[in-house]
Amino acid sequence: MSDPADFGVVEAAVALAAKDLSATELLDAVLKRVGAIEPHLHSYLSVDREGAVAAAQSADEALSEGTAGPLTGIPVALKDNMVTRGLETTCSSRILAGYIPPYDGTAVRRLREAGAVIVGKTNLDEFAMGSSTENSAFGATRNPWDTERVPGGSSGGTTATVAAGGALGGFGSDTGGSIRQPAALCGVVGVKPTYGLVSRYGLIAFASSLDQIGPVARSVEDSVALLEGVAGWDPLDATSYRGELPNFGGGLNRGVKGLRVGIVTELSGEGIDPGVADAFRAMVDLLAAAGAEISEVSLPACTEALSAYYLIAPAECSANLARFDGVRYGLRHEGETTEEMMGKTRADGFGPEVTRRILLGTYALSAGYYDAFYGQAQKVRTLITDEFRSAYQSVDVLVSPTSPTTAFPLGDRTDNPLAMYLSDLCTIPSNLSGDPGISVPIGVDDMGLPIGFQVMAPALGEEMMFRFGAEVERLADFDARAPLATSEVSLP
Amino acid sequence: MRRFEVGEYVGSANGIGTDELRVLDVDVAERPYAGKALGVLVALAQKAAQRVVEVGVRHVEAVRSHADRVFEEIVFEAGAIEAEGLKGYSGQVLGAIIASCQQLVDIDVLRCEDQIAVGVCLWIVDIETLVPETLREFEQRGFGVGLCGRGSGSWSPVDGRDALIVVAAARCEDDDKHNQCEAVAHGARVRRPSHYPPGSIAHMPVDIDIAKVARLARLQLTPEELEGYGAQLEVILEHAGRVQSLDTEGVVPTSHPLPSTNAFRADEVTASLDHDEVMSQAPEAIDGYFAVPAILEGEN
Repeated sequence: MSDPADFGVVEAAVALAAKDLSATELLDAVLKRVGAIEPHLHSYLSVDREGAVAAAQSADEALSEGTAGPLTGIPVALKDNMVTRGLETTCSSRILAGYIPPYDGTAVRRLREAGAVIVGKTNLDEFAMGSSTENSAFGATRNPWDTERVPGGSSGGTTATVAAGGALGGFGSDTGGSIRQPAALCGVVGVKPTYGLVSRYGLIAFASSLDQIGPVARSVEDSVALLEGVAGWDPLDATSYRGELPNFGGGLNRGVKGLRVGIVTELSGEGIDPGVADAFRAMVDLLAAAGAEISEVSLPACTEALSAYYLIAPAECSANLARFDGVRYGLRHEGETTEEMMGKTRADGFGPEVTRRILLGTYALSAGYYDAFYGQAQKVRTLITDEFRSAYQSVDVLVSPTSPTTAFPLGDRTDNPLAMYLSDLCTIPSNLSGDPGISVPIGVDDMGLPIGFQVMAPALGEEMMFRFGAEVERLADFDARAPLATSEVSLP
Repeated sequence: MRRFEVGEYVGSANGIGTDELRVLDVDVAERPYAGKALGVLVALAQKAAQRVVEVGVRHVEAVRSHADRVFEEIVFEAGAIEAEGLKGYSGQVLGAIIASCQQLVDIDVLRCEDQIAVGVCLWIVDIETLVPETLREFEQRGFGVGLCGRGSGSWSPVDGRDALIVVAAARCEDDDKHNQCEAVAHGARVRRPSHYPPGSIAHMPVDIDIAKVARLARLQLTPEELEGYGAQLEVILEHAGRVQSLDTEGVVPTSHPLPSTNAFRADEVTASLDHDEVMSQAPEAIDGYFAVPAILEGEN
């Protein structure tokens, strides 16, 4: 039998149900893999061996009692901005180091109730602000395809570990591409669901109108299973979607014959690396050969999506991160006055990127600038959303590369915030519009680094999105196994 | 109230000038064209100094609202103005527009067909030695001169980058129109964003009182940190300011990505978080309350 750490989520669930494997054995295999890869990756900030072993034992009981569900006994990795009761949650920030949340976020609670086994908390760019997982107060995560390169970000810890077998699947959060972009760079599947589909309760807020939790997995089918485990209305999140959920897996294996695909001109031409563009075009040709109708769709306002995002997200972040003030939790430096205490605490507790965005957001929201920056950005957001809605009148899905480049070297963009921000060029528009998007790996470039293909669908159009994603996956026939997962684990 | 002469620029050449900006003694209602010029200046001053500095006019409110409108209409769209579109404006207004418009930095001279205006944009490093001479030269040749840019604090080049000083000069050959315009441009500085080639950006000037922003955000940063972040924010805002290039007339700002209505829950008592567990995370707590340093003077 192959190493269970390499099993897919659905595959493992079948094996568990058939008693070919126990949840405890599966967890052992994953923990062994974690031990092998972590010295090279640093994908986890903390591994909860004790809790995971207990969860696996409970899962085995449920399996033997016949009360198991699709996620029972499945080892998953959680981005460390999802609060976990009794388990340190840091957001990769010094300001939250040592914070032990007194509650579980809703997604976490649902995973626990579904019997999933939480292996640990994964690294991220501090407060999910970044595109490389280098902005972590606890050190960068590396890419399992080339450990001298970044895994992308901000959910780089989750995508790196899922790519290398440190969990069967996992969860991240996507505010401007933070699931899809690192998924592309690590050669795994990453999904940003429709805004509001997964409760944000217990997701430490970055930009509330954009944040969304979503799954990371090694196949489209697995990502569906993981999303089904957490999606759904939650009274604790007033922005969560209350209507009927899409039939996420309803279109899998149905192909794309006769369906209409729009290539977004603004997201697939200028600024895209040639190797990425070539692979993207080749996949479009395969989709055409599979019977999809291909057309070019221009969304001109998308050219200003990045600009709008870098006003809206920092503005919301500056408000959200006001809660880290040294009073209720986390770091505190002493001061003569409360203001001094807060000023010192925050200056020391936040890293440079977070500080930069708080300053940017504070400025963009301040009197005299609000209309010109934040107000105008929210209008541009409306323009972008309208363009998407209008495009979906004539196509079923929109496609683009997920990331303009493949994984870049560590340190390459850390001194240049704007270059780093451009990493999210293709993913930001669907955060602004609230629509879902998925990144599916389709191959590697000439350096052997994975390339992601993005499928976007209208709000609540997950069924169509997954249907296309699955077809892209089938056509690409890409083995989502990072070199680190296949070479290093043979170590004793 | 000091009245500035045509062509006089306000503010010192070292770029601290915007604080010294006084605006003109003009009746906007009677002289709408001057009002427009004034509007631009007030708007620029407002953005630059983060406040309106002494508006010496009889219809202050009218000016302010007019300034906002003019600012949006003219300055925001200045990047899109072709030479043809500049004809309608008198010299100093044009000076202010040109000077506030980075779109023009990649050309040395803009000359409209009817000689209504000449805009000169110079790349120089030392404003103290070059700019006054340049301005005087233009003045001697009968141009109205506006020196525009932005400023607060010292203007020495940061990180060894060139400082971009935009000098805008404009002359109006139509005397009547010229006389209506008694505006002045103001002096300040512009720093060239290293990631963007000249001519790639059109937007309002970015002026950041970074120390004030940090104070608002409760971030006690060192002077070195403030300078570094200030420079980075300018670069980012240069880019982000591109949102201003889109026409959003009549567009409703997004407040929520999906249509939604109020989400209410039943008014029922439910369990809340465990008090002790919550308080266990507090850096300092007294008798089950969060503790902070004294907020009111004279207390402990």
